[in-house]
Parts: sequence; C-alpha cells; structure tokens
Amino acid sequence: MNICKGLGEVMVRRKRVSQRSEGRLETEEKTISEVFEKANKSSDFTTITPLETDPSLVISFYQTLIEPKIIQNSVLPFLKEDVSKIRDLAELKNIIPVEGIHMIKDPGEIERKLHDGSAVIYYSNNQEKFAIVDIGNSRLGQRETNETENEFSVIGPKVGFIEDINTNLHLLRDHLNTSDLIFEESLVGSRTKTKVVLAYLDGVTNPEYVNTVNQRIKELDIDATFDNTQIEQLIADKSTTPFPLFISTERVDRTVGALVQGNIVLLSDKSSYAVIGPASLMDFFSNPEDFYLPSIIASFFKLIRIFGMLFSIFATSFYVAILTFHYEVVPKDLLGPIIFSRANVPFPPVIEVLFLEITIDLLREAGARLPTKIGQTLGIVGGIVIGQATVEAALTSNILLIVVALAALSSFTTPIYKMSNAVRLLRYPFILLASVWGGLGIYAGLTILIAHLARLKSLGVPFLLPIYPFRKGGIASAFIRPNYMKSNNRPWYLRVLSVKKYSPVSNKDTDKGLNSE
Amino acid sequence: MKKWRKHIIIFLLLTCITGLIGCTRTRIIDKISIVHVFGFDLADNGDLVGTALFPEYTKSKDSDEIQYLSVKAPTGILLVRNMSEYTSTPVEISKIRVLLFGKNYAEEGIQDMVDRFIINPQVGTNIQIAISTESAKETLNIFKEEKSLTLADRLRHNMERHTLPNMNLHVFLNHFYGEGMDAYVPMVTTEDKNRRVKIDGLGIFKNNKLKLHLNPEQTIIFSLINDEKTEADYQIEVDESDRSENLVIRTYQSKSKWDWDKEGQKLKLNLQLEATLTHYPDRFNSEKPEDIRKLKKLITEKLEKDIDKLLALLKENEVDPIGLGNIVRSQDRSWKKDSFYELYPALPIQADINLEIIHSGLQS
Repeated sequence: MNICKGLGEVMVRRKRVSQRSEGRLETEEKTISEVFEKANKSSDFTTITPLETDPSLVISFYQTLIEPKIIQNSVLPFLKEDVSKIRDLAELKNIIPVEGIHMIKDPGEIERKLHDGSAVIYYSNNQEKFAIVDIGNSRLGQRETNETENEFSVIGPKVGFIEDINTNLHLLRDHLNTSDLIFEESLVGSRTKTKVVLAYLDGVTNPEYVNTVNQRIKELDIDATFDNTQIEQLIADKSTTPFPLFISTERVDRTVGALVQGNIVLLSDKSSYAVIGPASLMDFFSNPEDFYLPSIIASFFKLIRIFGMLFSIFATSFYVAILTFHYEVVPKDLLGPIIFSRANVPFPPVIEVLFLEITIDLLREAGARLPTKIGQTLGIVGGIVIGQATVEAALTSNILLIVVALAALSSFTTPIYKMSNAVRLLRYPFILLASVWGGLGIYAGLTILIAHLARLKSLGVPFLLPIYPFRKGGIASAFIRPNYMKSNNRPWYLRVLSVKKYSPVSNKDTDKGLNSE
Repeated sequence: MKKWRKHIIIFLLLTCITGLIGCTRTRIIDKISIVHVFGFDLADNGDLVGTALFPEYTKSKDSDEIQYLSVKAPTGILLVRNMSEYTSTPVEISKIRVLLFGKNYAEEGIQDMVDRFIINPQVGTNIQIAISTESAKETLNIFKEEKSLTLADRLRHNMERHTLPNMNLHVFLNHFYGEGMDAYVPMVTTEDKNRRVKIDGLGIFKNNKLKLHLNPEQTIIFSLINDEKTEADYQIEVDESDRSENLVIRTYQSKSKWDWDKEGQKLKLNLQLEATLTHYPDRFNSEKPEDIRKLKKLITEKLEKDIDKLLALLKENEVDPIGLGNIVRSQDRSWKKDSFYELYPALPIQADINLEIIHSGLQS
C-alpha cells in the first residue's frame, strides 16, 4: 500500500550530468556531527557505550538494519573484555571476529555505511577516526520461499528471484559457473540509493549494450525506485508505447538462458524481477518450459501462444465489424444462431462488446487486487453469475459471451505478464475502429500497429527483429522452438561477440548394442 | 505557433474522422432482411416479377420462419426497392445463394437482368444460378411450404457427387460473356403431385436465350466431356428386356483433350475416363481379363454413341456450351467467330474413349 502511495509522488526527471553532480556535492559537505545529529532524530538510531571508561568507546548503528545476534555475540563481548588492551581503533580488527572492518574518515561515506547496516565505532573524545563494522542483515523481512509464482511451469526448475539482490546474484553466479559472468554495480535513486547490478557474459555480449545500459543508468535521476520494472521503463528507448521493451522475468532459468544467449540482465535490490534486454516481440512468446519439452510439442505450444495473442486482439473487433457491416461473411448455417441470440439485445454490437470487455477487465483487475481466497469466489461470481445473468437479461448475446471469454483466456497464454497487459489494452482501439469503419477500420488499425512496432527499438535493436528487418536465420526460433541440433548458434543479428554456443552431436546407434540386429 | 501546430493538426484530423463516422451506414446483422434465394419471372404485361425468400432468424434459430415476398417492377434494379416497402428492415441482397429464373423469362432473354442486376458487386459470384421449368415464383413457393432454404445445397451436392457439371455464377458469367461459348445452367423442376423440387438436367443458352434442355442422361455425358471430376453413375442396358442385364459404372475422373485438325477442319476428342464397375450382369466375371475386355468394349461403344448423339444435338441447335469455338481459337490463330459458327452445325467431331476400370464391385 505504501509503495502505491509513494509511486504517485515519484518525480522522474532526466537531468544533465553536471546538475546531478551538484546534488552529490551537497551531501559530501556534511560534517560528521551533522551526520550524527540527523541520525539521532530517528528513534531507531542507537548509540551504546559498552564500558564506562574515559575516553569511552561508542558504537552507533541503526537498530532496524543490523543483525542483533552478531552485535550480541561477536562484537560486544570482545569489546567489553579487550577494550582496555587497544590504544588505536585500527587494532579493533584484531579483536573483533567479524569480517569487513574498515577505517573511514569521510562523513558522507560513514552515513552511507550506516544506511547499509554497519555499526560505527569511535572514541567519544575523538571524532576523526571511525571504524566501520558490517553487521547488516539485508535478509531481514524478506520472504523465505522463492518459488516462481507468476511464471509457473510444470516441468523445469521452479526457482525464482526474491526481493534481495544478494540472493539473486547468488542464484545467478551459482547457476553460471564461469568467470565470464560479470556483475557491474551502480546506485540508482537519490533517496533510496538502490543497488542495481548489470550482468552480462564477457566475450559474448556486445559491449555496446553494456555501455548503453550503463550510460542510461548513470544519467538517470530519480528520487526513489521500488522495483526493477520501474527502472526498466526509465531506461527504455521509448516510453510512449504499451509494449514492454524489455523482458521482465522472475525465473532464474530464463535469466541464465538470456545471459548465455548474449543478452544483458539488469537486477536491482528490493525487486524480484530481472530485466532482460535487448528484447524482440517474438521473445515474449517463448517460455523456459519450451526447452524442457520435445521440440515438436514446444513448437506447437509456441504457435498456440502466438495465435492466442492474435485471437485475443482481433476476436472481438472482428465480431463487431462482421455484425455491424459484413454480414456476408457469416456462413449461412451460423446466421441463424447469431441473429437469434442477438434478437433481443437492444444495443448495437459495439456497446454490447464494450460492456462485456469492460466487465472482464473489471473482474481481472479486481481479481488481481483481492486476496487469493476471495479471488476464487470472485471468479465464480464474475464468470458464471454475471455472464449468465447478462445473457438472460438480454444485455449481450451468448455467442459474444463465448467470444469474449475465449479472447480473455487466450490473452493469458502470453508468458510475460507485461505483454499480456499490452494485448489487453490493444483490443479497445480495435473495437472502436471496427465499430466505425468495419473491416477497413481493423485494417487501418493493424497498419498503425505494425508501423508502431516497426519503429520500436530495444537498446537500439529493432523490436520486430527477425521479421523486420528480415533475418532468415532467426525466423525458425521466432515462431517455433528448433531442436537442439539446430539451435547451437546465437542469433548473429544481435551482434554477439561469439556466435557458436556448442557443436551438436547426433546420437548414433552403436553397432554392437545390446539388442542390435 | 509552432508548438501548437501539432495540436491543431490532431484536432483537425479528429474532426474529419468524427465527421466521416457519421456517414457510414451500418448493417447490423439482426436489423436487416437477408435474402437467400431470388427468383425472376416475366409477368404477362412485360414487367418483371421478383420473388425473394428470406428467413426470419430473429423469430427462430433454424430457418423455418421464411418470409416470402413477390413484387413487380419494370426493371430488375427496382425490385429491391419495391420489396423494401413490405419489410420492416432494409432488404440486403449480398447473401443471395441462388438466383432462379423462370423458364418463360429465360426463353425471352435475360440480357438486361445479367447486365443490370447480377453483375452488381454486392452479389457474390460463388453462388448458384438455376432455371426452373415452372415459374420461379411457383418453385419458391414450394420451398416456402417446405420451410427449407436448401436449393443451393441441392444444386451443390449434385454437382460434387452426381450428374451436374461443376459450376457457379462465375462460370456462368464467363460463358455468358465469353467468345466462342454458350452458357449453361442447371434446371430444376417441380413435381405437381407431392409438391417437391428436384434437379432436372441442364439448360443451355443460345446467346441470352434458353434454347435447349438436356435430360439427366445427356447431362451425364455433358459432364463427362466438360468436367474434370464428375462422379456420376452411368447406366447401360445391355439387354432392354432383361432387368438383370444391367451395367452401371461410376466415373471418377474424366479428362478430355481436344485436337483441331486445321487442314481437315475437324475436331478430335480424346476422353480419358477412370471408372469403377459397380454393377454388371452375372455372366461376366470381373476376374477374367477376357470378360473385362468385353465389358470395356461394351461400355466404350455405348459411350461413343451417346457422345455422338449429344454433340449432334448441340450442333443441331447451334449451341456451343462446351466452348468448342474457344477451344479451336486456342489452337488456331486465324479463328473467326462467324465463319466457325457457320461451319459448326456440320463440324465433324470424332470421339475416342480411353476407358480405365480401376476396380469393381460394391462401392460405398
């Protein structure tokens, strides 16, 4: 809920680099006393003195960010026993059995470390030397399970990302055991200081993509980020499009697959979604599960998904166009059922369709916001009760009910949620165009849609890539899932540094097999 | 100003679009009267009589609520207008599936109707055209009583699986306007006793007038020559007095190849026929090559005789539904329409039949 409120307040602006560096100077000018003064305003900022000596040793930290166990077991006991032995703060390294003790003087850096969950140790009379002990607990308040919830698959690993970047990076590094995997870290958000990590495979990914993303992140000026998908929009090539220009996924296998393919991956702290780019339209219809199923079956499913998207966009608009203008195309035997079911409906087809489409979208929106248990009831209420009642009340025809339900169903086949949202929106302009100009309107809309898609770019790569500009080598993997004998190369048109992934070996019958003839 | 230009353009575009939307006439599917069969007749005073059948789907899901409307008008174009005076919703003719002409009208000539009504782009060309031996009005009235709109299906399946040659309005128009050929259409007839409509051979036009009516047997022969795939049962009575001496073949494929002998001014037809023996007299044994040869000879002779008879009939009536003129034109550069059709009634045509029996016995 808080996130929703905060999102509204976010002011997004892209500034010149020079303006941005001014802002940074401001924070650097703070003195150390100002830092502590400001921190003390918060009730969770704690300062403790382990032993009452003069000059006494002081530990300060944000109570809410640290792991109490470490400070209780590994810091305080040693300080209480051995504090008299040391003369200099640098010697703390020898007595406290915690990794990551640094000596820092810069007040800005100290402030940042405090926010990362470190404790600052210093002598009460000497505010120039500070020891920083990393006792943070970033996993505090994170969920324990990391099963993929939104991108489910029957076969294959169900490991997904969670809202902690270290865990996510661990998952990636653990899966991809190569030193070619590079993580480049940067901070985004003047208030949230969110850690953003750009991952790519060295020697495979084209450095141009890395540079582009790095530059866009560097130039980004925003106060707070809440999710990776927000950063994705901010660094996208074009913001006035309903289509997602990057793939956002919570699946680890999909992310690793993208890295191996030569794409870049963007992860950010507090976000369970990885952003993959450059993406093309056809990538949104492939699913990691395709690679775990036989290629023939997976190809069929992929074609079904592509058909599902087209059907979802065009089904209801064709219904409107045909019923309003082109009754000739209805087969003779279908005329009866269609006309009879519409006979008592008082509205023109477009009103009837909009009524049902908006009902479906209301149900969907309500279902997405409601808790799961109530959501199920809603499905029954919406699907059965409202649907049946509207037909009986002659507000819509029951043939339309089938068409709309099928269209809604087929929009869910798109594996990437953001894409299915785009499809969901695109229907409305097509319905309106169909209602005013019939088939011509749909055709005009389609022309505009294709022109729009052809202009889109993801990290400078055309969004329609294997289709337009036409690249023969990519057509197969755009529409079907080729078998592993054929998909041993990376798409060369993504300008990867090394094209070959592996050399396929066909398994032959052994001559002296157990049951050979 | 420059800043506002984009907005002004968008505003003007929207205004134009909104204006244009107001001009479109919607044809909402349940707010129109969809004509399924249209019949044309000639009234006694020379006016046209148009008869239309349109189902009222708003009252019933099946096509059993059929509206029957018959109006008079001086020209074909006005028929729809006159019909609209009787209906509660606009009459739409785009879904016509059969055009039916009364025999009287067809014999008088249908040029004006084809020129002014049938080639209207609203009417599709993948529809059927037929002539009824009764008046179209009477035939459609029977359909109304029958509560069926199946005339198109009746024609269609007889073309695909039985005697009629494959055709539709497109083929008809090609033959009607084409040089060196005459149009032909299926005929339907009514049985007075039990008020039924049935397919009855083929009608052949001479220019724009119905000239000749082929009976079903002649229609089979015509289809074999004219059509590539005719599934027809062809019956031969070996001995007319004995019912068991009957021979039936079912043809599957027929390929006719015409050769024009320019010097001799004669045509040669080579007909490749594939058929199955579905019924033959018991004295023949289909396992003996000897008997098969005998049967083949029997069939070929009869077919050749029938083809000669049919061609003679066509020549006698000076009609050319096969499009012999067109066939000769394709092989002879110096072809002239007038001189060819002067020669046509006496044109020698030799038919060779190459029969192949692919199997025999019961046929599903």
